[in-house]
Amino acid sequence: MGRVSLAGVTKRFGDVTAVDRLDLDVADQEFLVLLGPSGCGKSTALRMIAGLEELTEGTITIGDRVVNEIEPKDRDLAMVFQSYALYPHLSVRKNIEFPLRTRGVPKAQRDSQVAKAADALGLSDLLDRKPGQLSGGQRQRVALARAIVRDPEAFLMDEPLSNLDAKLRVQTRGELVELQRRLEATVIYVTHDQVEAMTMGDRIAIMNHGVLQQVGPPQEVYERPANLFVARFIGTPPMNTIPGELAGATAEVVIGVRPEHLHLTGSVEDGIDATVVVIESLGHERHVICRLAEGTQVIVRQATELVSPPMGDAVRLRFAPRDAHRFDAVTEQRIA
Amino acid sequence: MRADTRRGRRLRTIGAYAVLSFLALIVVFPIYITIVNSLLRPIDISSRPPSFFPFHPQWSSYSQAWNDGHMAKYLVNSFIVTTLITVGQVATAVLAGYAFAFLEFPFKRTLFLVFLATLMIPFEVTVVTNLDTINQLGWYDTYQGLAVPFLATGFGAFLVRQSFLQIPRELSDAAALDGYGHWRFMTRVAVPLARPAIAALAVFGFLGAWNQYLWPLLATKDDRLRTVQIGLKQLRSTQLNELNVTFAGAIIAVIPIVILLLLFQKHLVRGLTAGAVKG
Amino acid sequence: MSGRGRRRRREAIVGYGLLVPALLIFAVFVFYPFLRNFQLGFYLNPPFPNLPRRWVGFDQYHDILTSTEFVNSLKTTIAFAFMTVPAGIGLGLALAVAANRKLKGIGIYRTIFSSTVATSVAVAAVIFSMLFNPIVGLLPWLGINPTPPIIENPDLALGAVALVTVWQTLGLTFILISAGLQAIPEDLYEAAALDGAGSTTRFWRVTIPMLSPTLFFAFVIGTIHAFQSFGQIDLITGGGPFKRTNVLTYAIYSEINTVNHAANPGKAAVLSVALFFITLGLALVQMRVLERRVHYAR
Repeated sequence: MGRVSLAGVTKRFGDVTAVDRLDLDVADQEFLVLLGPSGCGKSTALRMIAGLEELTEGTITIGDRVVNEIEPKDRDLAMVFQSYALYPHLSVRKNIEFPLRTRGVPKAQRDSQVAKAADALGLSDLLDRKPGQLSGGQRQRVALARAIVRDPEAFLMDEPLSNLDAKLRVQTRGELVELQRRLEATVIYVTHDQVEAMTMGDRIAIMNHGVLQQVGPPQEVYERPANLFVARFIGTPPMNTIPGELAGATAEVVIGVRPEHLHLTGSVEDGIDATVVVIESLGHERHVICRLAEGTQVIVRQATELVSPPMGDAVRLRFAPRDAHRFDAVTEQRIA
Repeated sequence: MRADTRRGRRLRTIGAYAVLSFLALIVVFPIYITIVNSLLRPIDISSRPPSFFPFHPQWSSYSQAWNDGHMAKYLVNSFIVTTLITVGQVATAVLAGYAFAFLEFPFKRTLFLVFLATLMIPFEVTVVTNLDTINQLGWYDTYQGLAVPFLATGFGAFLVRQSFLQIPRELSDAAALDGYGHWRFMTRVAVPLARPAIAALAVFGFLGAWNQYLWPLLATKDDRLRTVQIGLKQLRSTQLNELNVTFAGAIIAVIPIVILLLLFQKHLVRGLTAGAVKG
Repeated sequence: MSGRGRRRRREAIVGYGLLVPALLIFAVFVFYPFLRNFQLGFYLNPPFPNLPRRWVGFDQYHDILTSTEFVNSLKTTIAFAFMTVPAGIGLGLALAVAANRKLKGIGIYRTIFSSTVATSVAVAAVIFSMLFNPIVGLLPWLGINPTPPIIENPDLALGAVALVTVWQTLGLTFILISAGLQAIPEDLYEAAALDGAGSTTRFWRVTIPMLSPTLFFAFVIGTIHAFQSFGQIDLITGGGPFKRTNVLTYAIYSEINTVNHAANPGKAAVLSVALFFITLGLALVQMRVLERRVHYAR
């Protein structure tokens, strides 16, 4: 029912290709995260699904309908915007009611649906306030209430948490996923924050320069990044990439090793020579930043129970072969 | 030392009040003396030394101006014409401002420049032909003849457009998804949000229309169609021996604007500064 | 593909539709009469009605624009602008600075200073005609009593009309400059005071530069306004005495005024064209000269 599918979707603004032949299938009740750095085309893709942006090429299907020529309002989608897009002159109640009014839902039914949506998001006491009198978190919940009030085919969310402070963001993350499960809703969620993507998505679709890089469940994307871009983009601290010859391979290969898979050793003969540059302690773990012989910096993630090496010390780095990701140095694609 | 600076400060405060009061006196004196004279008997107006206070106010000058001087009729005419112009200017500005702010169409930039170009053509430059046009339309001595040429201004469209551009793009996107067409988005969202600018435009338009002089003088001959400003000219020429009536007429002409300004002064200031900021 | 075109076309139709009302007014009452001036200027209207007008080409332009009458009218208009604009802005600035203090009851003074906004040129003309009047007027009573009387005096009439204009526009100028003054951040003054600047230095080094965009705007608008002044002249002097207050707008009016039997719309059209180019040229020159200073001051 709430299936959304994109085939060969392309958007060009003059000479700039914002989205390049994007193929993507979002299953009913799936939480799909579109992830990428700013300007990668993820928001444009979302706006094309919403109908706010026209396609240059390709087709978009929602449910069983090709929607290319269908007006935004007739696509039966709800969207949550980064700035929440609440109508500042209308009360919370009127804001939530808005999409129902425009669709001619009778008054009694409107009231009960608004009450239900407000209740689901804990807004029942705030219905008569104006958006200006609400906190950022409350506004965000009003935007969500406005989206869920009419039970659409799918929800589109454009960085809905990025205007919240860090603590509230973590809390809302969980609430959003819980809400999605409860409503059995299809969600397409755009973000540049890979932590949000990892924690919320059933699947993640990673984009860069308008091109889809990889689609898959978070764990799979983390464990088997399809290329160097994905490898570096997913994970904090990011994956270390070491020129092949340093790690005992050929120069045409780049070796990627996650910081938690790199180990420091004192005097074993096999290993990579490095110098300790900076030590960052985060309390529960430690990041030891080392410089390799030719200048590459790598991060080693250490448990705090281990003894910290002194700064400036010469060390050797080791990793298990099964933890090494191999990428083609030219195409940057994963080598199987 | 301390006492010195305190005394200096007090002296300076007194000095400031003295300067302000002197300036206020100069600015307000012409209006004050007009009110005084409107309440004097004609013979007392020319008395020497002049009377600076109406000890025996003669309110009959106001009823005379109102009835015999036709100020009542002139006021009604001014209200009709000014209301038509104000409503028209706001309406055309909102429509055009919406198109320029929210829609995409070929030649949009060119058309916007056309709107701005009207600001470069003073109305005085167009009266020769406009008078012909009004005559040919049979609009001489009519309300529409007085109002229609002023129903649109480039300034209004510019002001409203600027204000509409302040509305976040996401709001119109949300409205599009929620099912609002252009008309409903304009009337229910854009216009309420741009209310300060629209109010400024309305106050500005009202003030300008109320105070018009050249066009009403040219486009009407019939006394029943004269506006207040031209009425004052009539009043002055017909009530030569009763100057107090002319002054009462001048005060009557000012009162509606005083009320308007007391209610909407804030908007007038905003309209003025919007013009200054664009430069 | 066709859907895309259709949606775009519908948006364009809505857009043009919204512009139509304003464009219609502009076409009929701004652009058409503006352009027709150029054409009308080629025709000489006969001194008697019902005779055909005569094509004279550029002769009429030449005759009018080189006539002493036009040159005098232009001089009068420029003199009028010189009398009203700097004085008006100077007084407005003085009032605004005087009222820009935190004193008890300052609101009353502000209201008084902006009060002339409520008057029209017609009202101001009626008020000042009385003040100038040689029999009942206050100025003559105060000893300013020349012969011939002020408004019939060739040397004083224009100044008298200018005085009325300055007073009538003072409220608006005051409001405008006050708004500009209030927008200057307080900490700039505090910083200048800490740097040891006295009130004079603060005025010239902080107030004036920060206010320059507002003053610039007031200057351009004020000048354009001065070139369009009409009502006060019609009411106070009627263009006289000896055409000493015959500014361009009054000269245009005289040529289309139905009372004037020698009226010549062709001449009015030529004068309109001249007025347009003068206004335009002035605006451009001011933008060039003054705006550079504004940016420099910033």
